[in-house]
Amino acid sequence: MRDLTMAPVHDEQGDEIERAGEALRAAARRLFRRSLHIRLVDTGSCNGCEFEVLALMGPLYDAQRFGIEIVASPRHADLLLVTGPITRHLHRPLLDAYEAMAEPRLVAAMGVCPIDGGVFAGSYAVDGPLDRILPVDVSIPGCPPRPQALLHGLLLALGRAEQRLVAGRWLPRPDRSPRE
Amino acid sequence: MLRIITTALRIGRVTETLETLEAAAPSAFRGRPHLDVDRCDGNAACQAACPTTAIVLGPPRQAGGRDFTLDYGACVFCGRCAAACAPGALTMTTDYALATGRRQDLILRVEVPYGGGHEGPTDA
Amino acid sequence: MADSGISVVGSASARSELRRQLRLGLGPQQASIGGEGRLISAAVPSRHIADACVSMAGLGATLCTMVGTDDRADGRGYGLHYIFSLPAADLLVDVSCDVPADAAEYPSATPRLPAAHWYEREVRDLLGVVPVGHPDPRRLVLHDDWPRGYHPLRKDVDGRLPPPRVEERPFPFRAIHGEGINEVPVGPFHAGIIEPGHFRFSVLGEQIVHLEARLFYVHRGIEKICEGLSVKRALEVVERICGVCTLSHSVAYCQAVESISGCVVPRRAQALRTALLELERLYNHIGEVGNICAGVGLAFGTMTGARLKDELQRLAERLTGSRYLRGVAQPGGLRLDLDAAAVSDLVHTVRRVAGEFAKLETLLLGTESLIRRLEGTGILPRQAALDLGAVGVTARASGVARDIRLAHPYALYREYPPALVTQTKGDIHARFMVRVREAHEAARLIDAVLADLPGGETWIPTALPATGGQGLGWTESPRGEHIHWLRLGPDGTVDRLRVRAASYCNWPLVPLTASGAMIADFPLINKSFELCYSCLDR
Repeated sequence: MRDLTMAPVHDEQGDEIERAGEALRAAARRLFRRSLHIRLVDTGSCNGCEFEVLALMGPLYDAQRFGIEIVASPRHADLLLVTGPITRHLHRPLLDAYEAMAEPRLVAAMGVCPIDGGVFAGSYAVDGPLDRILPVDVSIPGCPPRPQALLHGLLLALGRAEQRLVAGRWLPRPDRSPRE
Repeated sequence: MLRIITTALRIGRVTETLETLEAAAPSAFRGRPHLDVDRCDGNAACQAACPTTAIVLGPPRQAGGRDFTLDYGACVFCGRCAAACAPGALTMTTDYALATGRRQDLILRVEVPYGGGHEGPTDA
Repeated sequence: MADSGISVVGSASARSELRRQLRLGLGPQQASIGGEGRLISAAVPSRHIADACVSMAGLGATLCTMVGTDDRADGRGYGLHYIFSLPAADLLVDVSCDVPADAAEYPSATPRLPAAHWYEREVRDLLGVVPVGHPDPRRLVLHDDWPRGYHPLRKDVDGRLPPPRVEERPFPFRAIHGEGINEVPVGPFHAGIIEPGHFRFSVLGEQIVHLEARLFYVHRGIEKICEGLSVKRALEVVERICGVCTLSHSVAYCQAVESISGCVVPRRAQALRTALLELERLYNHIGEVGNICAGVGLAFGTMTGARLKDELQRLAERLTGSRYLRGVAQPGGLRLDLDAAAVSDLVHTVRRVAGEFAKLETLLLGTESLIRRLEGTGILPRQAALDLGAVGVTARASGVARDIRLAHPYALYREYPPALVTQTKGDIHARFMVRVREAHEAARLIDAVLADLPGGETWIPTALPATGGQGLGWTESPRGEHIHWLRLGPDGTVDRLRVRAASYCNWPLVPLTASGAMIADFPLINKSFELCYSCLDR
């Protein structure tokens, strides 16, 4: 399994800023090694994201070969995969699911809804975004993210993919070279 | 049941390789909107067309130009911004691997010319 | 069921005959009957609204949606609109009344027309208009920590301001109590990849004695969000009510706008809408057949269904840029066109996948262990389906011959009518078979429509009337008929959008089918209905 690192990115002042995703990757490598048990929590999604997760676990994509597994309880989970804009009705159940997870634990926001609220942002019935409620380790844009995009996000969480968006800029794929 | 087993054996492996799964999306796919700053005239039609707050153009700066912010975390990939862009500065690419560890990595901030138009979310 | 004697669809003589019957049925108290095309409106005083509804049922009409509106700004109090469908005449009737703002109550139609039950509760929750005599006084949409007296769809309530949380009162579930009976709460989050909802079982050992579902966890306030948005902006919200039914909701909404504008959608757009709506039906039905196999642990069925569904969703992505057909429809037609290569891709991929699905069907129907699990379980009796207004696959599997593509044709369905697929037993097997047959019909329709695809434009501009207007749009989604009731203001923005999805009619029926089953069978029963929580909850 190759580990893919990115070159450091410089911000406007020319300072070297943290290698994108480096901290996340290091944590993932240390804590989760090669597998990620995921609990999917739908906090009010349109079900598009749910169906993309279902597709990812299907035979064409077979996420299980990367060590990605969907589990039935947050108590068995390493990562909470959150979809939906966090409706008022599901705010408390979301917190209960997170609190039931043992450390170490990660949280991923799948799709525009938990990241920002999308078209539901600001509604009387919607709380969120997710990062106002829980610490978010990975954000996966899309509406919904296609299965390949979701896979990229989960491999990123596993420290086995590189981040392509840094400060909003799209970076070319770096040369793949073995590390260590 | 035996027929199911023999059929499954005959179909064989359908799982795609990671290389295949990392391939480009089809050309019609609406992925990451891309801004070509050199073509932008700052008219803010994109902001007016956007159904969320993904695109925000600021007021004119004293030194000229205006701020342009594009938040991929608020984008629903509807393509209306690109459709509304007269100079063709904003286009939908097929890039889909947009996941980041940090929320702020989803936000593009650049300076574009000031070309009038809206300075806050409005109806298209 | 009275035979209205109307045989000519939507003709002037059919309409005047219906008006005559309506006047007779609604009595001398009715205020006015108007409307044009396929929509008739009949206004009555609020004290007669329940009687008027019962009269409509007596004419053979079925209640297909009900809308509450806040018209206080016009001095008309609150509006109630009960929309009835008369398939024999291809007419829809909007029976409405005004309820005074200072005495916001009216006689409930539910005791005599059970199909009205959730509609009236929703109007009470969201607008504060009370159905007097409704047998169920409990909240439906808003759960327990919303303040009393808070009604978000009232115009003077700021839709962007979440109200404070108040102390929760426990919801009075109608559980059964007795020796050896346990109350088992399940949800809102479930073990698998499924939307959230709460199920409260009363079980005796392993057997379900009673089940009640509490839903609306996915309530995002979509109807309020749409108020004040332009037609275009609201469309982006409508497309995200539900992933499964994206195009069905989108086209229903566009048709509502088109009915207000009076525009004639170009034929090529109608043809492509028809083909893509059938594509949406096809990939969903195939996926659901696979999901039912997951309910019995038949992995081959699940995985093959998933594979074939994904091939069709990849097709959708190649054709439209979206695996869920987002960004396809707009009022006036479509936002895209398909060139010859794309049409060929659509035709050939569908043919190939349909052929593979036919082989899967043969294998599954020949698997005794599967069929035995499906037969005789989760039975929805026909009378219950009729009384409570079931629609779609659920209704047809229980012998109710209702499909809105045939009852009120839209797009090109008048020229390309689908076969009406029904079963009689109403069990899981029946719902499974309806999907299997409808999948084949969908593939056939795609082929037929595209064989004669006309040229020309795929869009014309829609001019909206200066005074705004009111319109209705509908589609038969993979679950069943969706009805969009839309009112636009003079500035062209949405004044009121009421989205009545198929799942709204069918969810109340699911708990009825669980009694007597083993609790372990419930996921399978639920999968056989495969209703959308997001469509219901909005």
